[in-house]
Amino acid sequence: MVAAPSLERSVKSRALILLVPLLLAPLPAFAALYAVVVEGLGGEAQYSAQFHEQVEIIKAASQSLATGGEVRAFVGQEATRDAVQAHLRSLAKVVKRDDRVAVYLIGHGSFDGTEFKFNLPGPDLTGQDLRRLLDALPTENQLLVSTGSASGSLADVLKKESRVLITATRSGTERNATRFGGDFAAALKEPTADTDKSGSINAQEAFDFASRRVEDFFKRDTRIASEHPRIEGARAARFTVAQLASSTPVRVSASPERQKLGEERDAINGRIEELRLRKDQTAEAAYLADLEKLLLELAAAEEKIEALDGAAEPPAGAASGGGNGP
Amino acid sequence: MGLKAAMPRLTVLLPGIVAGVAALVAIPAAQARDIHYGAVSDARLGQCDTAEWQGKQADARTCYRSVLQASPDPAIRAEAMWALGDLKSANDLFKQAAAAQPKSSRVRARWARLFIDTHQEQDAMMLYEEALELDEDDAYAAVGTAEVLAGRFESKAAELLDPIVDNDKAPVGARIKALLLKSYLALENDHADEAQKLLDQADALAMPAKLPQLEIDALRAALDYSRGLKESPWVAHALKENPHFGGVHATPAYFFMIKRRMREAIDLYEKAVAVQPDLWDARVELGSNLLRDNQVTLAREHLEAAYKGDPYNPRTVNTLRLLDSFSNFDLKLFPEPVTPAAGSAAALTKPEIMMRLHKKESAVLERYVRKLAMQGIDTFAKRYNFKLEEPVVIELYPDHEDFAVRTAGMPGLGLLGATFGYLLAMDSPSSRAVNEFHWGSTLWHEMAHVFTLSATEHRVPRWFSEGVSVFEEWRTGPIKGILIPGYVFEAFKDGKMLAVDKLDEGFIRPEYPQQVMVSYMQAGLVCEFIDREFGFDKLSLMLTRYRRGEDTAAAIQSALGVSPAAFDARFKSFVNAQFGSVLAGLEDWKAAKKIAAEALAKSDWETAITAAKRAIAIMPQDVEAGSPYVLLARVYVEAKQRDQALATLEDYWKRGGYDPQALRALADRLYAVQRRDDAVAVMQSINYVAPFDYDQHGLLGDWLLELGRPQDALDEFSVALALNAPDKAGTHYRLAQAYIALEKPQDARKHLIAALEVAPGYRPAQKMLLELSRPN
Repeated sequence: MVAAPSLERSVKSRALILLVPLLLAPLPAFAALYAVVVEGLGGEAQYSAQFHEQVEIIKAASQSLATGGEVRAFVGQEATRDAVQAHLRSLAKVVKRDDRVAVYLIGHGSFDGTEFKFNLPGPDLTGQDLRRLLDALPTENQLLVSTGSASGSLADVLKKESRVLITATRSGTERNATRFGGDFAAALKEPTADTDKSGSINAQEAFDFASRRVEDFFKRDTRIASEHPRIEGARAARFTVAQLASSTPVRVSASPERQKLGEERDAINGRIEELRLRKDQTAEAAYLADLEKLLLELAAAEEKIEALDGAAEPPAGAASGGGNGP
Repeated sequence: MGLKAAMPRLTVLLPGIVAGVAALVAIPAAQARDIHYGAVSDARLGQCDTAEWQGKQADARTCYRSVLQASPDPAIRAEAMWALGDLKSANDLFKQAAAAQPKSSRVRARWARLFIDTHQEQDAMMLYEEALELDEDDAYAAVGTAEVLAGRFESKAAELLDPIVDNDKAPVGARIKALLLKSYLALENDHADEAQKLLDQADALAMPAKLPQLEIDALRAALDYSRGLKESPWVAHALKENPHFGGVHATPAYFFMIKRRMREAIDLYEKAVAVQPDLWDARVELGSNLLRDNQVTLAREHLEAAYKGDPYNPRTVNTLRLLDSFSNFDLKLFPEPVTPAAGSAAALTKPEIMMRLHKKESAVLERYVRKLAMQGIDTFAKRYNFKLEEPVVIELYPDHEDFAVRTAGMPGLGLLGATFGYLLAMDSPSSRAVNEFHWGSTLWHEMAHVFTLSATEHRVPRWFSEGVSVFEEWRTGPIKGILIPGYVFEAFKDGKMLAVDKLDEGFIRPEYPQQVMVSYMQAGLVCEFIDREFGFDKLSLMLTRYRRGEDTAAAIQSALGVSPAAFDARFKSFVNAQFGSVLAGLEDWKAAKKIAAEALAKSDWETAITAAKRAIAIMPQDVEAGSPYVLLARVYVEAKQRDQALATLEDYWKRGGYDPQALRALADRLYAVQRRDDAVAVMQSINYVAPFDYDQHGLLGDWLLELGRPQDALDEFSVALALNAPDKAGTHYRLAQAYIALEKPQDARKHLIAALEVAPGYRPAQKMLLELSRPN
């Protein structure tokens, strides 16, 4: 039965073709984004200033994406456990299944061996609080970013296949003040963080950018790294967290021709992905020739789409994945 | 070689013994036992020793075996075992002897000597100390202690020897040993006349006592060579006494080696192992020096042979391990050698430089090393009117300890670079924290050594070679300007400058922790002084004098027309004239820096600005770590005085400041105020401090493209790619842009496809690819 393995390969390959575009596609553009940005206690002036700046950047980045939904920041004395809990409980009533919820905890954390605590004025927000609040949300499209010390301990409490979890540390035992938050915020405005050149930054790209910066920092000074950023969840590359200022939002034409071109483009993308997956089994020259042909087809399709979209009405604030320069 | 690869670098074997429970590893092959000059007084053993020292090896071995059978004394049996090469048994017997004779200092002194033979100097030292506690007048133990100290280049060694040499009651043999060691130290310090006198004294003692003259002959041969003789009669004299005495070649070879005259050392070590194949230490030195001459294959052969004979010499193990790691290095030649076509009259073109760079960083470093090295060759050839005759081998080690092993065979070396002639080795920028050293300056420094060594056939003294290298760093290097750390000025103020003809000692046998650095700076200033007071051509003339074989005193006199004493007096006046205000203001400078730092912490901008300015006014060249310029710029930024911050950082950069973060801030600011050429120059200078930041290379490439310098931009983008910049699509796209500007569309196309492979929807790349694919 020599045919069986090859048949099996063929089936797997087809499955990949179908799966790949699905995995790469961002979450539905019409899904509303509910972002909650919480500024923790700085303790020292320098940390307070840093946290505030990071909150502002994240807030602005979220606002650039919020088509529907809401961006809510809790800062200073308003950032209490009760206020944050009340807000998340209220979201549980309005958020829909396809919507997205992003929670950003910007500040110091602590871990006593059992419980993570996010430092706030008054009682701290705990890992168990967060678990209850996030589990109560009707949507599985959740992102939680915790940029402070000991935040890695949250993984034990909040880890879930569908939930994207980004923490500044690997575990609760990394207790020094972290630099991850500053680098994560920087990623939201940084064109070079946009490695897939989609014009937007997704959670995976922001994490990659920030964690490399953190690693470089410790390597540069030949210090022992006191923080090791961590990411959990399979959907990080699908969770857009910022639209780059340099990308131009365009109105998408609704014509049938546009729709057909869009389908054509998706099909070419699928073929490119299939070819990339076969790269190791293909002779280099043949691979490059096939790749170039497909890339030219894709570029031509994009050109036609751009012409159609350009002919449509001027943009009214909606964003799509337009390209941006380096 | 698998074993060595798995072994850690060895420093000492079996550290920390307590006398009486010492352990010694088994050495399977014969190891030459020392000439003990009567330290062991046993008539039968003495006969064996005489046969051994006369080179009658078969007779000696028979004799030692008979001693083993006949002698009940474990100390004597230990000596016989040692002579027969069974060092493990010798150690066991010495242990028994020490237990049997708890008050015997001599047994411990001899046991200590066995430990020296097995490269365990620390343990030997402990046994010598124990011996001296038992008998403070044991001259053999005192000389042994001095021998260990001398091996570490500690100046205390000489102090221990004088009381023995001058003591008529001390054993003649111990006095001879002390005289030999003193003459050895004198030769190390180029004091030939003193060495001669000491050797004559040793000879006068050895002859009537009928003690061997082999080692006296060896040092006399070294003395002859140091005086420029090509041949020495003492070689034949020694070989007549003992035809298998390799030391008569190995000892002079050592003195050539420490003067960095590798090729003469190699010749003599080859002769040494030819007459005495089991002289393993000489074989290790031969291998090490062949390596310094880039004769890697032959070096490995000798080192492997030495490893078989003496597997526990840490230098052999470390060096073989390093050689094993050479497979992780790329060897890059520039220019690439071109073999002429068959029948062509053209000659084979040889490379000018050969770069041995670790594979993980060669793609990043190659272009910067190449550029600077070629610039150095061009600059120094013109300045010193000397054309290099061979390619320069340049090695950069990402692991400092590998560099240390490459240089000295052992880890723990406090240097950044070393030059052995046409080969230089140094720390790679990745071996240290980012702003710990300016690797470009180190390379420049070492390149200057290549010239001073080659131009003088390696006869230049250490201080002058270092002086020229430091001077060239200041005058023509990547960061120009005289940079002298504050603690060096303090040493100058404390009168710690050495007379010019004693300056070498500051490098070879430093007497206080920072003396080596003080000596570097003094040597650099001496060259600065010669240039300014006597003219630059006198520096070249000094090199000519050294090549002729003149020593420093003679070279100063003949090239500059002044006596060394007059030179020193004028140099002192020069230093006072140039740096008098710095020397006088050292306390103020320290206080001002402290006030500035404290004021910064309290956000007291006004006080910080005033104090930092005061520190700069006292010592404008203070640009090393903790520089007041950087502090002042930071205060200006905090105080929203951006123009002043820019001016301060620019001044800092022009004076040789190289902190990458400060320079990056300067470059960004220069770019922001439209001074793009200056911004690019600052960014390029960062590459010689911190070349591993992909963002920096990408940004510099962008700026270079804007300035219409696509070839330079291409270099920077290529480095960003080699550094695995995460924005691969963006980097490939920028490379394509550079290739378009260079009118190389095919190369551009390759990079566009690479960009789109990563990010198929990347519109600018798509557009450019479509553009390239359209028919003209």
